[in-house]
Amino acid sequence: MREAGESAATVPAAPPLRLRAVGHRYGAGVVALRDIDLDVEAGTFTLILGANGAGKTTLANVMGGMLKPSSGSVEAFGAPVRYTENRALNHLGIVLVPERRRLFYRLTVRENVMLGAYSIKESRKQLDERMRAVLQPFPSSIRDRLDVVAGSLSGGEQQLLAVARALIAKPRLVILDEPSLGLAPRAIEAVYDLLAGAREQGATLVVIEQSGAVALQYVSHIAILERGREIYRGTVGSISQEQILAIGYVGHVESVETTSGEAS
Amino acid sequence: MNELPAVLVSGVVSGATYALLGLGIVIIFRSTDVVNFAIGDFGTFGVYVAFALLTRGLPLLIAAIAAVGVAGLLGVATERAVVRPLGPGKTFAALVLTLALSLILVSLAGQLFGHQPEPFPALVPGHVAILGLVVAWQKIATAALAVVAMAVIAFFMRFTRLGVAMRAAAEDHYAARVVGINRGLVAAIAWFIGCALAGLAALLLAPDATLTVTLMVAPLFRAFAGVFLGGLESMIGAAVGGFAIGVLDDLAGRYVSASFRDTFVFAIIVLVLFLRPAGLLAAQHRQRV
Amino acid sequence: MRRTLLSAAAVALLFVTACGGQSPAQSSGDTSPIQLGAWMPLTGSIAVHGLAQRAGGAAYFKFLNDHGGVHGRKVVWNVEDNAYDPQKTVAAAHKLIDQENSIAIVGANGTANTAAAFSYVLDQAQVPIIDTYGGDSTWYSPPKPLLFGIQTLYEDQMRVLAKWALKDSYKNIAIVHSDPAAFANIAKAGSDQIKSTSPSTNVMDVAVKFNTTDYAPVVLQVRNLHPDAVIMILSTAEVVAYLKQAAQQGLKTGIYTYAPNSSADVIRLAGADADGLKSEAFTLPPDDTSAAGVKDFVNAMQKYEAGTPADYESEMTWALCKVAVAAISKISGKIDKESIVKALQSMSNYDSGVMPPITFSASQHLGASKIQRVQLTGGKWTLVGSYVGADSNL
Repeated sequence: MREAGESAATVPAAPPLRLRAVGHRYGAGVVALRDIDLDVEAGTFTLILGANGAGKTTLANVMGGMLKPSSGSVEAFGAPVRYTENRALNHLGIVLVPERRRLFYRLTVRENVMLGAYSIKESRKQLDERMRAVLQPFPSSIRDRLDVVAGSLSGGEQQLLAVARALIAKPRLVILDEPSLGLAPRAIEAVYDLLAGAREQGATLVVIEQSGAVALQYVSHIAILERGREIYRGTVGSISQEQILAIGYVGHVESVETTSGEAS
Repeated sequence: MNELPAVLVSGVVSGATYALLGLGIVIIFRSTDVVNFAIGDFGTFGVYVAFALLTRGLPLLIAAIAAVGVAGLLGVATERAVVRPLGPGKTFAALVLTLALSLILVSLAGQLFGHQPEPFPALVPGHVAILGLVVAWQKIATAALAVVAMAVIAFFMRFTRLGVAMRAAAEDHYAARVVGINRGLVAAIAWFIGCALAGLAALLLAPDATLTVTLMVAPLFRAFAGVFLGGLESMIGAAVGGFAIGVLDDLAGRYVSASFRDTFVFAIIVLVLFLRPAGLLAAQHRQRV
Repeated sequence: MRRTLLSAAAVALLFVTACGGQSPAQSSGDTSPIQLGAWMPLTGSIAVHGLAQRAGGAAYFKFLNDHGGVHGRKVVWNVEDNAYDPQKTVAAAHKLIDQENSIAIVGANGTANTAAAFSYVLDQAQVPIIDTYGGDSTWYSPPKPLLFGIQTLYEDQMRVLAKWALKDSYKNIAIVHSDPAAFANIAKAGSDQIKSTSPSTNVMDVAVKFNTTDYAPVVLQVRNLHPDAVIMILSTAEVVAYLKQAAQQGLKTGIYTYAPNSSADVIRLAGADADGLKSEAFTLPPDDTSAAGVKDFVNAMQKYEAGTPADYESEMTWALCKVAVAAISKISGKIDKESIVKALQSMSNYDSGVMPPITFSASQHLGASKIQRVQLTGGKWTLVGSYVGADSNL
C-alpha cells in the first residue's frame, strides 16, 4: 500500500497510451513490430517517423485498437486495452484516422462526419450542433458540401473530412496514419493546422509519417521506427532536420544517438 | 381486347415478391459477404409457424407478424451460430453452409408440419375491377405491402443512425470498426431484416401457391435472377431487378410460351451480364481501397 | 457390375433358402410374414399424392392382418420414399428387394419412376410389379411377364375426358399439361381423340414446366388462346394453382381433369375456385358407404389412418393392394414370385367391392379399362353416369 500523500505527489496521471515490449508478427514469418516501448503523455503531439516497411501502419493499428499485438502490453488511460473483433477504441476516446483515410466514399460528407460520432449517445439536435462547431474551422469546401458523396471530394478534402470524422468523436487521443500521404504541401498544412487546433482544445495527438517535413513544425515529441524497432525517442530539437528528412529517402538513420544504444 | 395491362399487373405483383427476396439477399450479402441460399426456406418456415398459429385460432394479423418475425430470428440465429464462427472472408464455406441449412430446414419443416400442401388464407379476400381489369385484393395488398416494406427499408437505411452505419459497414468493414460500429450488431440486424423480408415474401406468396415446403424454391430462383440483373451490391438494383424479372416472366408466359419462360428470362439475364458483368444498376464507382 | 453380382447373389440365396424350406414345411406350416414393397413420393412437391396413397394401402394391410392375414400369415408392406425421382426409385427398389426381401411390388406410385425400376425389378431380380398407381399403354401391349395393372390407363381416361368435353359442346379446347413425356403422351391421346371425333374442333396444347408454382403466366397464356374448355393433365398442386389464378384473372371455361386429381385435397386447397371441376374416378365415391366394400375402406381408414381423409386416392391404393392380396389368397402351396404371377393370370371377374371387376389372363395384364366420371359441386364429388371406357359412347 502506498502512502496517500505520496501517491498524489509523485504518481503522474495515467498516460493516454502506454506500450510495453509490444511486438507483432503476421502469420508465421513476417515480424512487423518488435519490442516497442512508448509512452504518449497527455497533451503532447508525437510524430512517429519511419520508412516503408518500418511497421508504421501495424503500430497505428495496435494503438488505435484495430490489431491485437502478438506480444507485449498496451494500456490506455491506465487500464489494459481489450481488443475485440467488433470495434476499435472509440468508447475510450481513442480515435484512429487510418492509412489512406478509409472514408465511406459512397456516403455523403454529412454521413461520414455523423458516423464519426457513432459511439456517442446524443440527440440528433445535439449532434447537429456539435457538427457545426467541429466543422467551424474547416474550409468551406467541406462545410458547404455536406450533401455531396465523399468519393467526389479531392484528396486534400478527403483527408480533412477524415480529420473531421475523428474530431467529432470528442477524442482524448487521435492517432493519424500518414495523413499527408499524396497531398500537396498546402493541403498538408491545412490538415496540421486543424490538428494543432484540436491539441489546443486538449486532445493528445500521435501522427505517423514517412516524411516529417511539415509535421516537425507542429509536434512536441518524435520517435523513429526502423524495421519494426524503435531506434530513437525524444523531444523535437534533439535531432536535426537533415537526419529526419533522410529517413524518408534511405529508410534508416546512420548517425542518430539512440535511446537504447542498439542502432545498427 | 388488349391484355397488356393485365399481364403487367400480374408481373408487377409477382415481381414485388421477387424484389423483397432480392433485397433481403443483397442486405445480407453487403453486410456479411454471405450469399444466403436458405433465405427462402426461412420465409417458408415462418409461414408454417403462422399456419400453425392460425389453426390454433389466432388472428391472421398476429400470425402474419409471427411469420415475418420467425423468419428474421432464424436469420439472426444462423448468422450467430453458423456464419460468424466461420470468421470473415469464408465466403464460399458460408455459401455451402447456407445450402446445407436450406436442405435441413426443408426436411425439418416436412417433419414438423407435414409434406401435405396446406391452404393459406389470403391476407385480403375478394376482387376489385379497375378500368375493366379484375384484380384480386390480395394482389393489390401484395404489391402495396412490398412497396411499403421497401420504403421503410429505404428510410431506415437513409435516415437512421443505425441504417447509415449499416451502409457504412457494407462499404468498408475496416473503416466501420474504426468509427466504432459494432460489426456483430450490424450483421445481426442485416440478417434479421433480410430474412424478415423473405418471411414477408413467403407470406404474400403462400395464398396463391398453397403452403408447401418447396414454396420458395421457384421464387428464390427468380429473385436471384433479379439480383444478378441489378447487381449483388445494389439494394435499388435488386428491387428493380426483381420487378423486372416478374414482368419479363409474365410477358414471356403470355406472348412466348409458359413452358419456355424460364429460358426466355434467363437468356435476357445472360445477355445483360454479358454486356454489363456487374449488373445493370451496379454502382458506378467502387473505392474500396 | 459389383452391384449386379451382389443382387444376383442375393436372389440366388433367397431361392436356395426358399427351396430348402419347401418339402417338409409346406405352406401351411409357414407363419413368417409375407413381404411386399412399394415406392411413393412421401417428400417433395407431390408428396400429397404419395401420403394419401400410403395411408390407403397401410389401412388395407392393417385391416387384413387384424382379420388373420392371408393363409394365416401376416403381410408386411414396406413403403420407400422415392421423392418422385427415377434414380431414387431404383435405389428404393434395391432396398425393398435386396434388404427387405419383398416378393412383389404392390401399389407403387408413378409411371416414369416405376418404369425406371423395370430393368432391375422385372429383368434382374425377377420380382413382379403388381397394380401400380400409374402406367401407360406400352406397359401392357405386349404384356410383360411380371407386370400387372388394374388402373385404367391415363390415355384412356384422357380419351373419355375428350369425348366428355365434346359432348358438352365445347369448340375450343385447351389441354394444359406438364411437360415431361409421361404427361405429354396423355395430352396427345386427348388431342388425337378430339381430332378424330370432331375434326372441326380447335385443340390447343399448352405445355407447362413440371412443378411450376406461379401459374399467373400460364393462365395468361391460356386466356390468350380463348378456349371455352380446359383439360388439365397436371399434379394436384398445379391444378390448384391454376384454378386459383384462373379465378383471380376472371378466366371462365369448362374445366376437366383426370382421376389422380379427384381428391379431397383439391377441395381443401382450392376451395370454391374448384367448383364445377369435372373429373374421373377409378373407384366408387368414398363418401357413399352404401356399398359394403366402400364401407370397409372408410371404417378401416378411420380406425387405422385417422389423420388422412378417406378419399379417392387412398381408396384406389386400398383397391390396388386388395386385388394383389386376392391373388395371393388363391395360391395353394408355396407363396413366391412365380405363384403370385400364376394366381393373377387366373383371376377372372374379381370384384373388390370398390371398383369395376378385374380380369387378367396370360395375354391381358391390364385388368381394368373403365372409369367413373365425377363432378365437384358444392364442395363435394358427385357421380356423373356409370362406369365408361374409352370406347364407350357417352
